[in-house]
Amino acid sequence: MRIFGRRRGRRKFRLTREGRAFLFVTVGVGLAAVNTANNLLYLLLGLLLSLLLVSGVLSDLALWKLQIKRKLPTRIFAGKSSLIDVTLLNGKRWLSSVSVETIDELDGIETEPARFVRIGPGQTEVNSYGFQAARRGIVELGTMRVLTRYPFGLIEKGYTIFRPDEIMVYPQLLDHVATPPIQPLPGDSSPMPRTGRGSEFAGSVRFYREGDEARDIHWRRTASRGDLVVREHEQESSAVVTLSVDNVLPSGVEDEAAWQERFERSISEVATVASAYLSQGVSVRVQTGDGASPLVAGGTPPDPIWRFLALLQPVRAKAPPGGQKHKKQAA
Amino acid sequence: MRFVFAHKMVAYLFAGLGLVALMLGTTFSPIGSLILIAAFVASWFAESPLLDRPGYSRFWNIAAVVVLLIQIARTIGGEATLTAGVQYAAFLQISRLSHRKTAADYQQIAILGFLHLIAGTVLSSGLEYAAVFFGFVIVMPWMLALTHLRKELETQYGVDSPMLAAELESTTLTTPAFFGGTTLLAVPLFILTAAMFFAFPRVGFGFLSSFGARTQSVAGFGDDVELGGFGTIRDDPTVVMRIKLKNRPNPPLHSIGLRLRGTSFDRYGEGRWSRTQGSGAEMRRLQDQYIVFRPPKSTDQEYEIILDPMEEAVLFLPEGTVALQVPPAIRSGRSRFRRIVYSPGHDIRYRGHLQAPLTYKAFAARKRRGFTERIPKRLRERYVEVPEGYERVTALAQEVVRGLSHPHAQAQRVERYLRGGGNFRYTLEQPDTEGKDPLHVFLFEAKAGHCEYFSTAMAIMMRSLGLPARNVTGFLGADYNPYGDYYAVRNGHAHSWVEVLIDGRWFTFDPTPASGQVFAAPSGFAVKLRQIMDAMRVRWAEYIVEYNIRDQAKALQGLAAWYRSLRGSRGPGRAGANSESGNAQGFGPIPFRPDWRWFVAIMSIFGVGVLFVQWSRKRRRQTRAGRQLDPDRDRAVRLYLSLESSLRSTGHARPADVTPIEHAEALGRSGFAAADEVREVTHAYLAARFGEDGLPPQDYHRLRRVSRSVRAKAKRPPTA
Repeated sequence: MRIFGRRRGRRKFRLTREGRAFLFVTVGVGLAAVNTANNLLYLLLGLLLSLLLVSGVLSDLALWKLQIKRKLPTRIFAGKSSLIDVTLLNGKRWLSSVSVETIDELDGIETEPARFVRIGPGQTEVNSYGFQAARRGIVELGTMRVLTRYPFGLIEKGYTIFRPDEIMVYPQLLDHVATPPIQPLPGDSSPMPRTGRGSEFAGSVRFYREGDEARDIHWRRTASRGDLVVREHEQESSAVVTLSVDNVLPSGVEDEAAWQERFERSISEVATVASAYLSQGVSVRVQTGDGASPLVAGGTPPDPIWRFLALLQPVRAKAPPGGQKHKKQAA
Repeated sequence: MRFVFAHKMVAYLFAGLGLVALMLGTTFSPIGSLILIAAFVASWFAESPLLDRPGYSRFWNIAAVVVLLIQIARTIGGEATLTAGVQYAAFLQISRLSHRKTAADYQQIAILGFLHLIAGTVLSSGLEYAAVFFGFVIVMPWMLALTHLRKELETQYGVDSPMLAAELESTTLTTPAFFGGTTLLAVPLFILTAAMFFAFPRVGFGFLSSFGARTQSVAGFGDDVELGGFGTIRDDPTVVMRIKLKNRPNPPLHSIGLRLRGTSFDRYGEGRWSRTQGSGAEMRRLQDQYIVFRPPKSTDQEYEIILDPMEEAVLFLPEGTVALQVPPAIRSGRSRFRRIVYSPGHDIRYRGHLQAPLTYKAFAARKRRGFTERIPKRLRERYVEVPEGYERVTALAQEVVRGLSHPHAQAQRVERYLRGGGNFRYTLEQPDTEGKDPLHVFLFEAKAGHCEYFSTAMAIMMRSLGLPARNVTGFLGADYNPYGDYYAVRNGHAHSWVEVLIDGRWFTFDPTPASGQVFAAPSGFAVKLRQIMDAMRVRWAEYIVEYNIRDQAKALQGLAAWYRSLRGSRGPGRAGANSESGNAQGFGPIPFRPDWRWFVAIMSIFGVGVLFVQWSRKRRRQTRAGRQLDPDRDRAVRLYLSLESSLRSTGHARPADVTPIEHAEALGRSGFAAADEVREVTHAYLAARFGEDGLPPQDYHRLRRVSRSVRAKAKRPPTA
């Protein structure tokens, strides 16, 4: 959640389609008035111009003293719709803000507007717009345009707020991926699979992370620190899975687009499998051609793995490498 | 109030005002008006599910075409184009009102209503239009705001969405505060409208012309008049003229017996007076002063007369008028002196037609008995003509003046005989002539009639005595209007009297009994209301309809004087001097004379402004590019900016960290429909911008078309 400060762009306005028609009529009436010297046409001309002027002032008033907050969802997956909330607070004491909309810019592309029909004086309204990232990675949030066509729909007036932000788009999760059974390590006495979350790691707490379960919150510590603190658990088994993603683009590959497609598919599979293993209490690590993810303990949220996979980029190799798309092994 | 009901009500108010603006003209007959009102009311009840029937919209579409064809046929058949057009415009509004479903329909209702208001400016300029305009100023913000909100709701929820239906049925938007706030908008709108109205320079170029104002028809001032014409208008309260007296008594008299001479008639026969048609001659003019007998003196009584447009272009003058001051008309931004024509019979008329009330001044000598007039010989004979069969009238005249030899005494005796002898009675009822000569019936049988009978009787009696005499028509009397500080002359003040030529001078005699001359000043609430309305009508005409560049100049001078007086530097003295000189010049000078050269100058300034904006945009573009570019490279930049705009609109904007060629390739890989076009434009751009290739204008225009075609070819994805 981010509260935008006072940093905002200059007010800009443009005529809407109706506004252009209105201006066209105004010019016509003006020409007719000048030609005929008919005072009633001058009167009409005055009325039309006054309407434009009043419209400009009122649209300014509609945008005046608005505080805008943008709330991003905790997780966004590629190919899946998410809603981004926009909260508008009308700080005016007497006047409502009517017909206001906000348009975000994600990676340079404007989103659908979040529309607010009426925000009473001193009131807050929440609305949202849909967002669907086509691919994993980081999506940059740039400027947000706040605009209104109030009161007559003739002029669209708005300003931009520039406060860059980022959304981490996780890889697309697949519906059905097989998770092969895990072989325990030699000498490991713990049978697999198991139920439960393991025992609490004595005295070990850490700050809350997205995806942690509410029942793990250590309320006393939370109260004393002022931040959410959760208890950590230790696994009674030492099952660890290393998932491998081949991100090395072989040199001389003929159909690079097809390779990219397979690469993305493998990332989705690994993300899905990792999530499944972690929920089963198996610790997961992802190995790639040029690095590895941190080891994520079983039972904890898979976000570190997903984050790693979201940012994974292919690297070019000099010699054609061999190997499988991904492999699962007991370490 | 529910949104849907509020919007419908406001739309009907708006459309109704527009239709009233159309009906202010004379294009609708009473039956046509009734049909229009009935259709307007009936359309209110057109609601769903009737509106949703598939044949319903088709019916109105076909009706629109059929009515259009009918109106065209009527126009070809001789109906006025304006009338046919206005009637069709009204039909279109009824058609729209009858199937209003979405915001777009309401927008069309608003557009039509506004066009009707514009049409109203050429159909009427009276106070009725002011009322309609006032209504528009209040209703227009409601209409525009509600239509805009409805459109926003439709965009948000979709036209057939149940959410939209729920919003339209809710009362959260159309609260009393909403209507109160938008009504209060009328205040700044009025102030701004007034400020702009008074500030716009009045430069009429006269390329188009107005249809003119509606004129009043008052019997008695045309080429002939039938005996009995005036009696029927005696109770008509319509004000035709307003008189402002300089040095009027204080407190003002409720009524004054001011006699305003219009025209005279020289030939009588078969119960009808007629006027000999003469070409007349233009009156002698000193600037805007027209000399009737002599230039005005400071001792003369000054009357300012505001004359409503009438069918007859007669200038009404108080008795003893020696000179006139008529302000020049302003046409095409130039001051043009009016042509005032004097015809025998002391008939003074203006040339041309009035689009608004005419304000002029008359200067009357305080002590002037009769007036001279050069009369052509053939006309002199007309003034003594007595129709055949009037021997009995001659005998009566001789009987009345027996023993008197001086013409003046004779005239006075006849006047007294008709007016005060108790022989005749004033009545508005028409005597039943049963096919007999109306004058004989009046003099010998009914012995009762109204002013025309009395004046005709005296004129014929004087003629039968050999004295030249003529029947004069005009107005007698005026009622004070305290709300406008002027004397109002009503249609009911129309009067006729006699002028007799005695010793080379025309003298006025009024044989109508006092009961026919002295009118009690009307009173009561209705009269007060009428007076208020008339005062408003005068102000509307004075400050709005007749406002011109001369008034603007005076207002500016007044402002300047006021500013100087505030600063205290020679202020009051100069201001006083200015106002004095303004009074001395009567209607004030025109500071400058805008004509077609002004139009050319304004258009040139506008054109230069457009060129400047284009140049500065180009400059900005080049600055963005970082350097001054040669024409080929400049075209290349413009070309690629155009492509980027197209890509942005299709949702495929180029990210900042991606080069143009990379972006083109990426689009190709992603299967973008217009990838080939993008690649072609990008390569051409790179070759011209950074390579040695040129980009001649013909290539540039071709590639611009290619770049524009990207929008059509590509389909924008729903979200990023």
